[in-house]
Amino acid sequence: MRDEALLPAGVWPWLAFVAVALMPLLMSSSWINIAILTMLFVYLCVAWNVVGGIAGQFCIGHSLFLAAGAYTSTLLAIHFGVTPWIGMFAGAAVATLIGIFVAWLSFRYALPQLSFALVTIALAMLGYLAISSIDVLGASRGLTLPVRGTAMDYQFKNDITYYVVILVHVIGAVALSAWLYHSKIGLYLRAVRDNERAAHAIGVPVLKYKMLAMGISAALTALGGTFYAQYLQYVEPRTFASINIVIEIILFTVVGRSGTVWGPVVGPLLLIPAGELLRHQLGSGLPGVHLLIYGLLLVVVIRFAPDGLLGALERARLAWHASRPIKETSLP
Amino acid sequence: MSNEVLLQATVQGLQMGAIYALIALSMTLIFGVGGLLNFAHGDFMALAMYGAMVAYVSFKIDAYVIAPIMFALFFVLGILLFRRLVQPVLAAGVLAGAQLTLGLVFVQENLILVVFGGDYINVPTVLSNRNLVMAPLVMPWPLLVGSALAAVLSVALYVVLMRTDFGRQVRAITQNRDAAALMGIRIDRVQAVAFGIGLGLLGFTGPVIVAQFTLTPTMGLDLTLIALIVMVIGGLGNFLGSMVGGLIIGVAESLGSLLYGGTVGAMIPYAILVFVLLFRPHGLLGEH
Repeated sequence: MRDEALLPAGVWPWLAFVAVALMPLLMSSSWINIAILTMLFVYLCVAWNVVGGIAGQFCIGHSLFLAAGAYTSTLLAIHFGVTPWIGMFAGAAVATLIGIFVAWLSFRYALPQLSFALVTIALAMLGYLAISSIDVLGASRGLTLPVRGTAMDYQFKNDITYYVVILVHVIGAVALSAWLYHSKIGLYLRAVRDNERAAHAIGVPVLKYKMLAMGISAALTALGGTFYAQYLQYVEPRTFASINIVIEIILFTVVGRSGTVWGPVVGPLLLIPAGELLRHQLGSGLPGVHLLIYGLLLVVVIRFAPDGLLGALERARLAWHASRPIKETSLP
Repeated sequence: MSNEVLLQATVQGLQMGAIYALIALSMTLIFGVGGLLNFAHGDFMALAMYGAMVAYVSFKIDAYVIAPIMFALFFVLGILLFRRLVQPVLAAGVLAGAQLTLGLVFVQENLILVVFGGDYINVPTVLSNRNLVMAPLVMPWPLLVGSALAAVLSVALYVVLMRTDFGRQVRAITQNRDAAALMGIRIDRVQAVAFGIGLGLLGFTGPVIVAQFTLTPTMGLDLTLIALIVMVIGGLGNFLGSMVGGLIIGVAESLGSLLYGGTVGAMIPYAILVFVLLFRPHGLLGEH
């Protein structure tokens, strides 16, 4: 049956994604900010998924990398006039170093599975407190980017340009994560996720590959941090360094399906517009009602589909196939 | 700096530490029997504190009176939550369980925001603004009573864990779940009761220390983080370690903010955690 397919199976999600990604360009301009936010979270979820999903290491420290990206490029722009187009790679380098160090720190000993989550959440909190109190980093007031208004300085007059920029980020990240997933590295990472002892026993250099996954994930997240800083034109700890943004990233990824290529794309793509819609419908009433309903939705999804919406879809598909009578012609 | 000030800070730190120890102990209990890392731990305690606020404002019932009632309420809530929500998700793995509790953080923070608003709230009790003066020490009564109750409960829980059948079952499951199941221990029932007791302790602790805290919707995550740090420093799943770790963190935080100011004081627990992980990664009282 598979042989009769029009296109290779891997192409269909890309076509669907491009169709969805083009929609904001056709809709009224009031949607563009929501579209940018959605794509930013798609990007951050895909980045988190490299270490949190594919490699199965539950990292809650990605606010460190987001902040590393945002603050490095912003400080370089303020003090040395370096364009964020270059600063973003400096930020990615800083984040990669932090990520590899954190991974090394946590994975040197075979600690229980969830201690990594504890180490990273503690370091994230430490980072948040540090940034909030260091004056050079703007402390809790934050830093405002110098207004230059040119594309050379990663500043655009039109929000649609920002949308295109983050879309390019997303396409690059998904392509990288798809390649990684099917490559030998991805196989190693998934082996580590599914059974670390067995992977170690057959000779997978576990520590090295965990550090690699963390490095890639950190670098990608930092690039997203620079984008977010440029889009908002300022950086401050509550937006860039608090644990709440990591919790959101993790929940969106999990609701999609962590550990797959398209799960972290589907999660935020459905949830952020849904959340904005709820805010629009209920926002005028009590503050926080839409977030409460939103949170309950997340919990319900995790309760009934711990492997995410894509996992539920997959199970439904298998059940449907199993229920169909076997046709004579399908036998060789 | 005079010795009296240092002594004062140390005593206060030990008192906060006793409270931290109890929070961490109940987290260790929940973690031990099910492998569930409960990121919503502090939020349940925040919920109990808001409950004490409602009791005071609406019915003029003092927080110390409501605490045992809260224990019962949270015990039942814990068992219901475990049976209906946590247990099915834990079947899919401890990672899914941790993710579920992150979702619960989101729900509870916003539930508090919707019902009580985002303002800072202080809840007065009969002991508010009263101090016990034992020269050279000045101790606020709410902290003294709160920490004494926390210490009594911690010791009581420890005795239960070490001396009763239920405690032996909990420890057996914590050490080796499969072996415990083969010995005929009803794993799911012990887990549900342990989860209930864990939340019940939070329900009790919240009201008795409510006078020491300013209530905000986001206070839960900070409490969770302190409990996590204490749990790791003591050694994951180590009950005695959680008690010792609580005292260490309480004193370090108190002395830190006295000597270096509030922000650095707040950073010290996290820094201690990083150092423990660097040099004693299985915790101060952990094996290996």
